[in-house]
Amino acid sequence: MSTINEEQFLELYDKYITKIYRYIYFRVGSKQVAQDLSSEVFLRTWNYLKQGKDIGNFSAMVYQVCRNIISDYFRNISELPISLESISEKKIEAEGQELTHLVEKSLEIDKIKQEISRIKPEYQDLIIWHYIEDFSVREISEITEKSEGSIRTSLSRALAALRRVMEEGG
Amino acid sequence: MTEKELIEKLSQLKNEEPDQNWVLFCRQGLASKIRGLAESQPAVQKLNIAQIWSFLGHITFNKAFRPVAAFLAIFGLVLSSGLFTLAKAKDSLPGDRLYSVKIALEQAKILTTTSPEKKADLQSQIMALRLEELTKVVEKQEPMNVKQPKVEEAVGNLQRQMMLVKDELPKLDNANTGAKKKVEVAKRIDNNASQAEQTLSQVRAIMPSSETNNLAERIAEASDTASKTGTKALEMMVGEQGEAESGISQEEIIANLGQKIQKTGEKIKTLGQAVSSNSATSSQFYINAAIILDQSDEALIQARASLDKNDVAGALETLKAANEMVSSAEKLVGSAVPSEESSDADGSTKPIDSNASSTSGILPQDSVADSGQSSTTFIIIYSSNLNLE
Repeated sequence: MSTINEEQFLELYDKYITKIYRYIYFRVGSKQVAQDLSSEVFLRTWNYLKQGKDIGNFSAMVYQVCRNIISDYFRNISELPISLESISEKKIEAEGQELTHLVEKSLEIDKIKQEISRIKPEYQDLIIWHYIEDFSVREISEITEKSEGSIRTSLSRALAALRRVMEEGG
Repeated sequence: MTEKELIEKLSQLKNEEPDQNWVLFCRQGLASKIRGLAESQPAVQKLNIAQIWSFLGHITFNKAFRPVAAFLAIFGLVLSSGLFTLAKAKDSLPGDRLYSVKIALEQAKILTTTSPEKKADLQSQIMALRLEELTKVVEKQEPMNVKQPKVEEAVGNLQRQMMLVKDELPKLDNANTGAKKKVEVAKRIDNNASQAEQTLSQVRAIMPSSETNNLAERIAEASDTASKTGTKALEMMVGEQGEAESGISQEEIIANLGQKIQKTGEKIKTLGQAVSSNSATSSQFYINAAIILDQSDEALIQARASLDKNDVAGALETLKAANEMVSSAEKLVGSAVPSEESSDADGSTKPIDSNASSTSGILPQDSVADSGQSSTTFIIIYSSNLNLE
């Protein structure tokens, strides 16, 4: 893909926005921040495309832009995205009312998000891309510019790391 | 916890979706920003064989057929069916048994046309045919459950054909087509696109839509494509104006652009009425639609100002931005508006008046008046996303 007009770019936006948002949200833990950063990703990608550079794979490129933006974001903040305190507050509130299946599920999902944020950023990316966004090893290799063998090894380590963190968390 | 259990837990996170309201709003903001940041270059579209062969899929030909094999199949059909069948096929409509033969013959004609201007002209003629088919299908006296899918198919066919027409226009730039010929083709396309918008607007008003069909959405998409096709044709005319013997004057272009601005203004007004007359205006969809309509109104004011200064290019760019905003607002309103019945149960519908003025609207006017909903004031939160300078 070497040249692209606005209409084509907006079609790419339609195609990728949900996945990009979801990836960023799981990395940063806040919907508001994920919305802001997602918007920034597309704007930055457009600027890059209009410099006339030839890009081989749009998907790989846009996720690389995502990673850079997320790194920039974390450089500027220090607090955890989803705090354990906020999870316990929810639990206490729920126990005061009737603890429904939906509330339980919501707490469980919050916990998984929290645990993901506790492993290394590279592992977080791999977990989100492969197990949530269903990216293949080949696709991840194109984004990270690492070999498929290396990705497979890292995936296995990422899953092991997440299991450890979840077991420690209880 | 086993690995399998962990992977199962992770898969629950796939359900996390962004707020659709935000997705549309963000898209709108992005469209405005990128227009302000860079000039757009028309995409040089390669002829998409897949688009053409998707029609042949109707007659259960294998998708792997190459053009030569397709010609053989079509000629075989001609030889075996006879002239009588071909004559019948010419008058067929969506849903008829011979309709796919009609489409196949059109595609064969396109493939044998080599000159870009003749191809663009032919695609434009086919677009007029699709429009005629839509009108006939809507006016046919049939039960609604039989008519509805045919209307949907006709709208889909029109939409696809308009996209093909739109794709042909940039090819005229690449070929050594004279200015006069380009303008002639562009004028015909613009005319057809304008007719298409009118007809679609009337179809929307008289056909019912419900949650079980996609008709309203298809009509909105086709309307959007018609508007973009007309604008693209006008862009070509603007590009050629000033060339010797182009056959188009600055006054003609200004008049055409003025009409398009007016049409967009009418759409904004109708959408605005739909938003303000709905009692559920606390809905985020309506609030965001109102904000976007506000911005598109401002864009139109700027477009008119540019036109008054004879800045045709500037007016056209701003009009395109306004149309994108209106399209986003339509989607937001469409997401929030409940379905309305607007025709008789026995399928009789009013005839389409091709000479009537455009009355584009999300809701038929009757249903708005009869709903008994009083207008509700709402607070418009002004967004400074848009940079129109």
